[in-house]
Amino acid sequence: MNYYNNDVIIARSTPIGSSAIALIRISGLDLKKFLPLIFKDKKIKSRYNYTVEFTGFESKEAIDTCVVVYYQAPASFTGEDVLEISCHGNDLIIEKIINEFIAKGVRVAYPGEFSYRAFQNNKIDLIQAESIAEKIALNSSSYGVALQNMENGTVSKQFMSLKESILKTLSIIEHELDFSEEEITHLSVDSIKADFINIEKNLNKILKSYSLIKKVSQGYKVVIVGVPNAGKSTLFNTILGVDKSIVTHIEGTTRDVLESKIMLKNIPFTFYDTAGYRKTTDIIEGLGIRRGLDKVEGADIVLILDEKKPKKIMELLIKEKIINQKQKILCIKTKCDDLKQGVLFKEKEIRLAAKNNVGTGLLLTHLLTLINSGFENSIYDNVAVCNERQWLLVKQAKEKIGDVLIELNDGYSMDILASSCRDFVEIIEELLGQITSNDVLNNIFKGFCVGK
Amino acid sequence: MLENKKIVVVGGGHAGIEAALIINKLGYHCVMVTMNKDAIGRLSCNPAIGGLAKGHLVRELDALGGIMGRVADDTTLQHKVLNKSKGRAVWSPRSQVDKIKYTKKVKKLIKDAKKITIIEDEVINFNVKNNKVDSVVLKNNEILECAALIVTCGTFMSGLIHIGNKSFKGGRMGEKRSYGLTEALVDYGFSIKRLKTGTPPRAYTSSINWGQLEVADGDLNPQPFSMLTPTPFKPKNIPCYLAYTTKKTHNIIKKNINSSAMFSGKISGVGPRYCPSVEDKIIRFEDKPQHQLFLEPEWENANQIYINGFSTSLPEKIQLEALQTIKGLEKIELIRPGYAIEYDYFPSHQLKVSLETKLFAGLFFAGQINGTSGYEEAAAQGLLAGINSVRYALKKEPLVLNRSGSYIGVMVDDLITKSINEPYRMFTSRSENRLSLRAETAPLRLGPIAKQHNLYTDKQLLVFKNFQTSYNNLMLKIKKERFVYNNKKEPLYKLLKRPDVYLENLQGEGIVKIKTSFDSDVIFAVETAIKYEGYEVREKKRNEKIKGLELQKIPKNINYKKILNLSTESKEKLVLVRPETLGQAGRIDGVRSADLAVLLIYLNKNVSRETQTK
Repeated sequence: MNYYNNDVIIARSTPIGSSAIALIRISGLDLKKFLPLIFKDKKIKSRYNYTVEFTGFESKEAIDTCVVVYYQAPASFTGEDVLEISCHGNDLIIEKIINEFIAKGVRVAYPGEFSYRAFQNNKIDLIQAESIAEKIALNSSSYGVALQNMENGTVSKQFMSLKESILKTLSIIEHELDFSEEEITHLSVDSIKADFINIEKNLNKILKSYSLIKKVSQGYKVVIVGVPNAGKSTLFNTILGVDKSIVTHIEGTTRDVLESKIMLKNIPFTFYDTAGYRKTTDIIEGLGIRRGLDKVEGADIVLILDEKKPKKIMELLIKEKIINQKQKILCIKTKCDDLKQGVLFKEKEIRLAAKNNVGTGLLLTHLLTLINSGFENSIYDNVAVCNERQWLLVKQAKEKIGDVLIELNDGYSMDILASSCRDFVEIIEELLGQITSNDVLNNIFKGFCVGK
Repeated sequence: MLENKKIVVVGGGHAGIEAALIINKLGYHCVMVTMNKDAIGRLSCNPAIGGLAKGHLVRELDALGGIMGRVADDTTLQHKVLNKSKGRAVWSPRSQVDKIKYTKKVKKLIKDAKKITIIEDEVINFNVKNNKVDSVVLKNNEILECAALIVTCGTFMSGLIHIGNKSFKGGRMGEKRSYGLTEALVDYGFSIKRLKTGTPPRAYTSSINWGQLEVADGDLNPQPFSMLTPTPFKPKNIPCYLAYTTKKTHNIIKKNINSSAMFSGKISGVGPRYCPSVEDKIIRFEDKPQHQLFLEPEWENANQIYINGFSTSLPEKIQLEALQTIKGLEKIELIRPGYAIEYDYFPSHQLKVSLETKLFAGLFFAGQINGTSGYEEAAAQGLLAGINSVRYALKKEPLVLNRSGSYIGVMVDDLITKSINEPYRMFTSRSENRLSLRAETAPLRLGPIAKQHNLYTDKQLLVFKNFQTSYNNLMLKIKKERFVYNNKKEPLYKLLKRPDVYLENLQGEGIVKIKTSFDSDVIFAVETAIKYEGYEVREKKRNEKIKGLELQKIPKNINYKKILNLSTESKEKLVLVRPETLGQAGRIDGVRSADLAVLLIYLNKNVSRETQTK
């Protein structure tokens, strides 16, 4: 955390969590070069509102409709060039936008860094400066994962063991370079490689647990599909307890995608009722079907409804490449009006009668089971309290370690390898607090018998 | 014209020698006060110069006009580059040297130096005027005026030697310790701490069955430490020997562990973890079946041998008994036993980067007195203190060597900012710029500084310029050359960046021409520079990032207690160390980056307040 730099920095200025609008702020001397990425060829004036369809810089994927204001230096909060992007207050959108900038070399700001720069550029007075100092001092203790926090247990075992294993591997390499005067080889390249692969695994674990946690907080998408009149809307209404979908016997009644949210055991679920799948000449219905199918693509769970053979429908949809085999799919045989209670058939199919509210409870329980199978080995208990910045650092660290592994494979010498590790360690330091050369030396003295 | 006052150097060890000789070279008068003229330039521990990271220091010393490398080259018994299998940035040259010849040679250099006067006496006190050192007091109460004072008294300050349960006062075995100066310094307000180090036994060569030991030869075509040493460098190649401790050795030591001074609680000083005593190794690493010993000849045809790896403070009888369990050493006889020595040092946060003390102007500390260990570390400090004492006397800004440019810079910065809990020795891992600070780049890195500060003789300057020119020429040549490799014509420059391609293995007209028209050290330097170029750039970028912090000076009179929002721990550390720049502040253990930001705000605020009131 060196505040003395000229990096372009980015941060979300509004609190985490859903809101109508969120604000992302970017500041830096070198900010101008990002303008064409957002505005294309458009000439931009300082302090004007521009409505922009924000798309991925490389991917061109549409992300959100935003309002962007450019403040030209020095007439801005920080005194540098500043961009303020107002987007919809959805964590996923915000993260996507921030990631686009990070991919272009922008860095996530440290606590109080915008204010700090404002101070540097004489934008705020001395009294305010005092409060920035306070803010930095205060935030930094909760910021990153300072070592003292580790002892307090606010950070998970995963981070701890990560730090330990990195320290261990570094120590081995440094020991090799600094202590074995008589050229006794203490370790093979293979064992270093194994260590790094292990560290990479740990990083992956953290990334995975983070995305799980995020998933849980963002909720799961459940999309109901089936041929027309299979009972999709009936099920949708029963689950949600609201007559949101118009239910008739006329095929093609649901022409658009309806969505509704419920909480199951504190986990948010969004259900989507889609138009029945069939070939149609009706343009509006056709559009509705297409939208429904688009929803399937991003679904966490797809419910396939049919009153006769849902499995057949599933096979058809897979064949038509509408659902992906890897998606979580649950077949539901509807309109089993004879049943007194729902039936789970071979773990793959649920039989129910939504109209009589028979089997919907079973369905919901089973949904929870389905998503829970993602939490392997009670990873839940061990998940780091991870914020977005940390998650990004873990991701960067993972990429760096990939580089190190490539160098290992290509036969680069140990001094070069050690230097590449340093890049990696720098990221880890941001994440876990400093690893000083003293830490490494202490570890060497603890673990190796050194000295002639 | 230079003033009449002389610079006084206390001590004639490696720090004192380099200090005195560079002062002489810079045209200033120097008085070396030593307790024993004969002991000038003595190698009190192992008979080797250089080694891992230390070899880098010797190369840097040479590039800055020091003498250690040149003397080592001239007295080499065998020369070897360590770490050969591990990448050129960590290749470290080491010479086994002839201790007798080394000392002789150093004494001659001192004697021949026109402006060095040697006084066999002891400095017991010094006088201060206006916070400046003004004169020293000798043992007979004679007062010697001085322009500056450099204290380099090694392990001699309150030295206490331990062998088993015996302990006695001394600076080295058989030599008196110094008394008076430490007390004076403490009275003046310097804080003091205690350290410990050790040395292994010396044995009669005739008592060893050499045929039973493994031979360790030096390199066949070594490169010398010094630019001044004529090439081809053809030193002697007298073997060292390897022996190994056994289970039996370990058992004897374990059984008698309580008779070791270090384990009986007699020693309060902290010893170096990188150079543990043999009893330490055996107790702490119990499952290791054997430990290597390195038998080094102390001089040519010596009757005594140095048993590296067997540093100990066990009673002499046990040392002997344990050694006799080792293959080849069954009939070993000791000339003198190993021993541990405790001594005082002045925690080095009391110094500035110039090695001048923060308390008094004109007072410099160099060497073991600052808590370091090793000839090379001491010599490097001596050289820097010598240069800066002259600059001080001439009222010039001190020479500051920064971390990014040399290991010497790393060492000085570490000494000032890090809390040193054990004797400090150099490791390559202490530098953030290991890939740039290679041994062979020392002249390129430091030559320009030496030139600027007149640290070279005319001859040295010529050699340096020749090297530089020839280096640049070859670099240009290689950048133009193309070479057919794997049936593809490629720029040679690009080709050499590949980890598996070396000029050595290439053939062809162009290559032969290079090999015949350039010296091997130039070829090696250029080839390595090409291979490491990308990494050097990476390190430079990293340095750029923190450059702003290095340039931001902290006013001397800053009151840390008044700065709100600094963490208590940081405040304590900052008050103790009183860093000169924000960069230094950031490297102090326990000062967090948030504290740096707070400090920066405070500094800027006060600056802006000043400009406002104007």
